[in-house]
Order: sequence, then structure tokens, then C-alpha cells
Amino acid sequence: MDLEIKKGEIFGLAGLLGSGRTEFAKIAFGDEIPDAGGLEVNGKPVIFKQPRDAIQAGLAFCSEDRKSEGLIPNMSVVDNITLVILPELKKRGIISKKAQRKIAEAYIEKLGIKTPSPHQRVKNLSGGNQQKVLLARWLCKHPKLIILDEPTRGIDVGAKSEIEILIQDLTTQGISILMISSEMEELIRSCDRMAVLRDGVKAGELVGKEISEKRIMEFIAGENAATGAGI
Amino acid sequence: MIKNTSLSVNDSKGEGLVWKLDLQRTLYKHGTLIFFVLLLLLNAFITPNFVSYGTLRNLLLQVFPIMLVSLGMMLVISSEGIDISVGAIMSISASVTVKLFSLEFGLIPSIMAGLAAGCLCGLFNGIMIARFKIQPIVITLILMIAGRGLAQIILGELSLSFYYTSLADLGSFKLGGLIPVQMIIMLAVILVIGFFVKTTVFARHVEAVGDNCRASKLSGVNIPLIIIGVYVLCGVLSGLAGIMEAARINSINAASLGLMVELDVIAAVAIGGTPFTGGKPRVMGTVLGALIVQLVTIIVNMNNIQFHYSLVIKAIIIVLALYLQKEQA
Repeated sequence: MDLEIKKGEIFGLAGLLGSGRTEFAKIAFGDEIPDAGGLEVNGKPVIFKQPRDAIQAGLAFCSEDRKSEGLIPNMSVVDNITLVILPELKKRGIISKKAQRKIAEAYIEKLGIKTPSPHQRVKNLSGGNQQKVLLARWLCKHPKLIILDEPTRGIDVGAKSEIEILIQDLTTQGISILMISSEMEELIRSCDRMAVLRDGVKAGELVGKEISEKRIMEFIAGENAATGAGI
Repeated sequence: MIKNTSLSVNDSKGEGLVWKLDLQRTLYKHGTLIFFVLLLLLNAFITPNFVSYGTLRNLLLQVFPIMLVSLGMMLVISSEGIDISVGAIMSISASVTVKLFSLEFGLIPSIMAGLAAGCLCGLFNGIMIARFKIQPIVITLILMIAGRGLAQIILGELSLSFYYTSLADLGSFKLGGLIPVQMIIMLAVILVIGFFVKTTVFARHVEAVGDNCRASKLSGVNIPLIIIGVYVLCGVLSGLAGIMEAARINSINAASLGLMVELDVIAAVAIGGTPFTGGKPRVMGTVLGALIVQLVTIIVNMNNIQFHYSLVIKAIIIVLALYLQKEQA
């Protein structure tokens, strides 16, 4: 599979469940080891043995499974937002609580996270606000590329459009987005370019105006569509 | 008129509920402290000679090994692990120190070697768990059993005494002829661990790993480092506890030093409120927990209740504490 994501664009990954979208994301983030193939960042080949390496290279990954792969449920909103950059917030080995709170409050305001207090346990927040906390966690690391796996799954309509606007906003800051979604409208609305996956391989790539539900469905169905039409 | 009555009934109901919630929260928050105070008050009445300087001295002196090991165990449990080899590590460390001391390696080098042995035991546990993915309970059970044998092999015999030596002097050293060395070490360890838990990235990562290991990994936390780290800390603290215990009683029995300390220590951490499903380490809770456990032992002794009853009482306390933890969550 061959994908190329440019600076400041939203690249969509469409495909059916099990077509290898999440697997691709996890390989790109160093969470799973690829059988073959390699990654390049800024034209230089890289090997990610673990997520830590990918983070160092400027990648971020918001999992589709917020609960088991994202949130630290019993820790506070502040601690959740600053989890990734915590090592950068210490002075002489001691965490600066002030710096931690300052950053967290800045992002709570920026993303409009609704929480009674920055010290609230994150598990008590609503789905949309939890997702924003996870976004904030990655944004304060200033990544080059954020991989978003089903960023609006299980979130109410209001928060959904808020998060979509937020994602659009990021690209103006030069951050690239790789967006995985099962909701075709969402991809059509947001993406500059997209690839459609089928059975773990790229079935096709669409750019700009080409992106439409019809074209995506053609690629998803692939050759089967022809036989299907016969019946 | 009827309307008024029903309104007032509603009001009082509401107030009652608020009051009840408040009481519940207070109980959860300071439950350990309240339990400790109640235990003290109760025994002031029912246990003869309980209110005395002697009881306080015994409590603070005898709680020493439990306190040290509990603080190590607290970190392990906070990372969603468990270490039941702490008693064996106490024995191994003490054996190394006493053996080298008896071979005239000198006091300081012998103690350093003993602490290094505790560190190695923790390293073994940590590497087996973090790298080879062995269940913490299984690998530490192995060290718990094999460690006793190892301690006897190191010592070369079952027990060894060292009366009237510098190591024995260390065990009974009193600062200004008044404050036992154990109390000073204990206070220092509590302060250091308390500071460590509050201020370091490592401690925050321990909590994160314990609460959600998978999410922590995806956020770039070095999981093996954290896991190995907590078992090493627990091993070193156990080692220090073992060495000082041997020094205090001027002899070592490799088969019995630190025997069954696991029960006391796990009880202390459970009472202290550190979640056994991983998460926030409670330093003050653990300190109080250790005091409560030792207090139970002392009370049982002072009331001439046979030793095996104290084991049952402690087991009940553990179950009760864990039940309350579940309720709270």
C-alpha cells in the first residue's frame, strides 16, 4: 500500500470494517510491526518499533476506542491533557504543576472542553468532551501528522460538528491529518484527498472534486460490483 | 395546608440526603484515619496498659519493616501489579549483608551489597513481568519460595548471630540516646516516597500505567521502564527492611525473617486505599494502613489472643478494605 500525505491536508481512509484501515494506522504509529514496507517522514526513511518513536518523529494517534486506548479514566483532565508532554514540564526533575495547569487551561478554553473543573476525573466527562481532551493531549505536543481513527464515533451531533471544525482548523496551522471514518459524508465533507481500502490493499485514490459517495462505493465494491450487478 | 405538609416533608428528605452524601464522602476520604482513631480509642478502654509510652514505642519500632515494604508495595500495586516475594527479598538481602559482615567485609560494604541484592531481586521480577509477560503473582510466587532457599544457600546455614558487633550496634542505635534509628529511616523514607509520588514524572506514569496500560503505551509511556522501576524500588525497600530487622534482633534466621510479611503489607496498602486495579498511590493512606496492621498485631498480643487469630483478623480487614474500595469506585 502506498500513501503520501502532504503538509496541511486532510487525507481520508475509507473502506469497510476489516479492510485494514485501523491496522494501517497502528503500523504507521509503531504499535504494530509491518510484514513489509517502510515509512518515510519528510523524505527520510524511519523505523518505529513502538509508539514512543512515532511520537518523537511528530506523529499522533487518536484511537477509535477512546475508553481502552485513549483515556486514563481516573486521572484528572489536567493530567490527561499533559500526559504526552509531561517529561517536558519538569524543572530539575520535578513536575511544574503551574506549567501543567497553564497548558491544560489554555487547551480547555481553545477547544471549548466543558468540565466543572480541570481537576475533574476525565471519565466523568461526556463523549465529545473526552474526545476533545484526547485531541488536546496531542495538540500540545505540536505534531506534524495526527491520525484520527473514527474521531466522531459515539459523540452527539453538536459536538460532532464542533470537532469537524476543529479538525479543519488544524490544517491551517500546517498539521496534516489522516482521518479514518466509516461515515462517508464526514470524509466527503472534510477530505482533500482520500484512499479507499479493500482487503488490506489500496483499491483507489480520489482527489478533490472526484470525492463522492458513488466513486467511493465503486472502489469499496471493486470487481465484485460487476458480478453483483449481474445478479 | 396539605400542600404545605408535603412540601416540608420533601425538604427534610432532601436535607437528609445531602447530609448522608456528605457523611459518605467524609468517610471515604478520611476512612483510614477514622478507623485508626477508633481502633486507638477502643483499645484505650478494653486493652490493659494500652495507653503508655511503651505501646507507642513498640508500635513505631515494630512497624518499621511493614512501613518500608508497604510503601514499595504501594507503588507496585499502583501499577496494577503485586509482589508477594517481599518477605523472601528481606531474607535474601539480610543474608547477604550478615554473611559478608561475618566474613569481615566491613559494615558499609556489607549493607550496600545487601541493598544491591534487593535491587537485583526487584530487577528479576520486573524484567520477567515487563519483558517476558509473566503474571506478577506467578513470578513473585516463584521468588517467594525459591528466595527462601537462596537466602539459606547464601548464608551457608539456617541462622547466624552477631551479638556485640557494629551491625548489632546499628540496629539498636538511638539518636541522642532517645530516637531509634529505625524511626529516623522510616520518617526519611516516608518523606522521600511522598515527595517522589507528588512531584515526579515517573510516579505519574506509574499511575497512568496502572489505570490504563494500553492508553499509556499509545501516549509514549515507557512501560517496561515503569514496571521494572516499581519492582526494583519495592525490592530495595524490602532489602533495607530485612537488613535493619536482622540488625535489630542481632541475628538472622533465613527461613523466618520476613515470613508472612506479605499479608501485613498487602493489608496496609488495601486499607490505605490504593486501588488494586491500578491507579493513584496513596502515601498517607499506606502509612496509616501500616500503623493499623501493626496495631492489630500489638492488640492481639496484649490481649493474650493466640497468634493465628491475628492472621484471620488481618485477612478479614483486607477483604473489608477491598470491598470498600469497590464500593467507592
